[in-house]
Amino acid sequence: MSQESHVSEIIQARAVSKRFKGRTGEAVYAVNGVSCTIKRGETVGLIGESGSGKSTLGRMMLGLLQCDEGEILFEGTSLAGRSREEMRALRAQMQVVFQEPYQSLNPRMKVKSIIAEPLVAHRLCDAPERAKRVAEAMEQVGLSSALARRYPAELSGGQQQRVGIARAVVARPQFVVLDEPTASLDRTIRRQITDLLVRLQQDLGLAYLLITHDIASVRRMADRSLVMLRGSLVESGPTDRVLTRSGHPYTKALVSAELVPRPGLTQERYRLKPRPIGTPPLTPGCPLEPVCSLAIAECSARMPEMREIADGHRAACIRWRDLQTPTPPDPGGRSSSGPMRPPLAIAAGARLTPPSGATR
Amino acid sequence: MNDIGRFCLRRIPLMLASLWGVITVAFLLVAAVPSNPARAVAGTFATKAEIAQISKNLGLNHSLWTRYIDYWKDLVHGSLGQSIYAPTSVMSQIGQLLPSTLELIILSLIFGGSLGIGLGAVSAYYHRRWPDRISSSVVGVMQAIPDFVLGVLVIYLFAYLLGILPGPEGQLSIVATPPPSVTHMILVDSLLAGQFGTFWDAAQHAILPVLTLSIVISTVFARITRAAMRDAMDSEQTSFARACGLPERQVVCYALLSSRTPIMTYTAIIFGALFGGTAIVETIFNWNGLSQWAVQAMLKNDYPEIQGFVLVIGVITLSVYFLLDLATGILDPRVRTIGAGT
Amino acid sequence: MLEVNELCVTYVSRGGTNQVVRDLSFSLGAGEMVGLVGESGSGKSAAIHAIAALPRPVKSVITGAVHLNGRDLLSLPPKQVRQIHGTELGFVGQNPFGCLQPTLALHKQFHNILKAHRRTSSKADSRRQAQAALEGVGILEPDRVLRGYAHHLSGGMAQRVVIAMATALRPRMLIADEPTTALDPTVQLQILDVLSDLRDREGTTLLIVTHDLGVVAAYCSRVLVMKSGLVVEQGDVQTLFETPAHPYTRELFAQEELSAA
Repeated sequence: MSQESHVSEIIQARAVSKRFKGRTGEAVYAVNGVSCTIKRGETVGLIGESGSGKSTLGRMMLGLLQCDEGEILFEGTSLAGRSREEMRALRAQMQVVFQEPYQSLNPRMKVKSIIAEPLVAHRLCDAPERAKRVAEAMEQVGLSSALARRYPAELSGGQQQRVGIARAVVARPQFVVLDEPTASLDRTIRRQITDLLVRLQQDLGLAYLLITHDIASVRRMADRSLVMLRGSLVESGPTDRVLTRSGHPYTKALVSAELVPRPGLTQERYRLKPRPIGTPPLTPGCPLEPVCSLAIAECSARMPEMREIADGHRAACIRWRDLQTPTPPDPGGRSSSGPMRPPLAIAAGARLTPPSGATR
Repeated sequence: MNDIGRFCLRRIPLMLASLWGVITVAFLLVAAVPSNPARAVAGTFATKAEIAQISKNLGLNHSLWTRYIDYWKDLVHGSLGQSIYAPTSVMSQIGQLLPSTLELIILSLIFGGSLGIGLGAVSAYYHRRWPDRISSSVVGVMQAIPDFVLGVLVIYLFAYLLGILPGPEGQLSIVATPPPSVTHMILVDSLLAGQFGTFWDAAQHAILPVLTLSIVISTVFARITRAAMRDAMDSEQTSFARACGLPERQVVCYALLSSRTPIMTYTAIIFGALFGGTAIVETIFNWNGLSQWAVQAMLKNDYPEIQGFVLVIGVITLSVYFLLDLATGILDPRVRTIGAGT
Repeated sequence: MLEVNELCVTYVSRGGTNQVVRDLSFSLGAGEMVGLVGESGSGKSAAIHAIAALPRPVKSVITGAVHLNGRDLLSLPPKQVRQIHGTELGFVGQNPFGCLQPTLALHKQFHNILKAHRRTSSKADSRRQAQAALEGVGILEPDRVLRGYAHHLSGGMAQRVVIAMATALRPRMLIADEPTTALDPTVQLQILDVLSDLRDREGTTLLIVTHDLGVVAAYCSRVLVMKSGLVVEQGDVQTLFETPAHPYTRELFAQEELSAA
């Protein structure tokens, strides 16, 4: 088996790419030359919108998808070319929690069977030990043992997600991919689940890859963050820096799109220009160029490289310096042409202007 | 090359493979037949020598593989062989009889389809209210009656009891003279020849068989339409259409539009299935169509005729499937753009 | 503008009856942008559809009154309701691709709407009106969009088209059922801008159903909180965020405070 190397890096992706065949036969890169590292016990947030390739990257890191280019290393050894037996043993070390709890649980299986599945699949222990571990996992995620014999349909959304989490940790993995774990849950439950995940991480020493487009959860959970856009990594670094001193306009747009539930708070909104119809084909240049207010000629010529803009903080934008200084919102082209709303008031302490004619 | 062209090109290998499959299966059917056709031709009192001679004449003494090659040779020359019992070409027989069956099939699809879609749409729109209950009951009853029972029933009711329609005499009255054969479809030919009297006669004779078949297939259309339209009426599209103030008529149109694809797909399937369905109806009504002829051929063990029949309807069914897939691709823009490539 | 009085919606099924909305009462003034928040199961969807007089697949019994510009929608004959839909009241759903017809070119869909309300004289005229409507929601190439189909569009564009269709006849009130839930964050912002722009430019009254308090905080002036079919609290946004009165409101909004910290 693999040497019990206490390598601090659990998962490493080295310039991995994933190609799919496009509609007219050309290659479409869902993931394009992405490199990243996740250390033992840390949480890395992977932020992006739909089409960014973040879920695909997550699957590649779990070994569920083959890399067309590059390789994934688990504890220093590559996932490529492993035998089925080896992969099976490795997979026990890497688990995943999905977004839709109801869809990821087999509706025909009882809760205790669902949670026991990884143990059965990886043949980790015998039946009595299994029962013990299942009970342990249920306790860890805060599910009462009475629910063991229920079916998923009888559980609430939050409880279902707890089952999904219990299933992910029962095999005592080292690395868990969280694919939008709270997106489909009610607001009041989200906080509980997030707290649970943090606590489990501390207790079990788990490394997390948190895939999401919700800035708030990244801010709360992730030590480091990665930002993906149309398959490419455009920014990486400590979460705090990435969110507050973004080096890439896309990150800035994502952050400012976060609607903070505090009325009257003035937020500097960095808006993107409206996107042209559908998905334009990938150009050799930066994928943000068509909608970026900072775009210059060079941006469409070549994909900018990830450059170090501060210690441990990298971004793939030629004009990153312009972002570091507090810029006025919507520089240049603004959010769109035409009769669009001007940005919210920036003056300190300015309140949200109430709409006119607001009478009963 | 546009999408349609690409679609056709992609389908051709598949079609050719299917065609080859049909031809081979048609041929192998003969090999599966347990009895010896030569013996049947020779008669009950034939001697061994006579049977052997006939066998040789028919080419039955050759190996299966040789016969297969010969079969292909004939096909390439456009020949489906000759009937065993009569020296007529199978191809010409099929050519004369197929149109009559097609007449029945097409008319039944039109009427049965309309009836079924209508019943299904009513059921879907008035879901769980009384029109739905009535419509569903009607469909249920129609579904329960087997086609041969239905055929006999309508004859009894309309021809015998009420006397308003002719009985099972075939396509025309016994005393009528058929119009000159152009398409071999009596209804069409009589119109072409301007013989309206004959046309009316033929039409009357066609009513009962078409009615029988229509009722049978309408049940399938009704179920499909009901399910598809039910989904469409419950969808957010309907809600939004209403929210924009569109009249109910338009909303129903939209729902039918969405149901178009499953209905068309089933039309293709039913078309193929009707070749079997017409066998019974043609026999009951003495229609003198291809299916009736095929049944006779099977009873006689006239294997060239059987092979010819299987081959021809196989080819027709494949073509119909292809055409309908093409039509679906053209009509549904989503499929069109996905089309070739993936 | 809109006054809802003791609206009750009861779902009737073979298993029994379920009152999903109980005695809902509130009113909206012209030009207001109001949020209706609640978690799943709070009945906000049922309420909103009842208010908009849109039938749902579930058999329901609706009582109460919904006064739009003085007329009670629930007691009007269907023909008049249909007339109101689109001209005085618009509705936008959560999934834009669920609202648009997939197999019909977009300009035809616009034409059908305009024709139904007799606001067009020809196909060319419909096209012009549609183009204007699309420009009003910030679409830069309206002609290209109109020639295409729904699936050619990205989520954000499709939602803009839906809003354009719903407001083509300039209704004074627009109800949006979770209009941004299915969209990416940067696109959400754009769509909310479109909606608030409608309010600013045309004075449209907006009732936005959402479960996202951030939307409420950033765009709405008043908010109604629903739980289990009842409005547990309503008032202006500032007050509810700072000093929520009802325990449920407190619970709901408090979570937000914590998560934003």
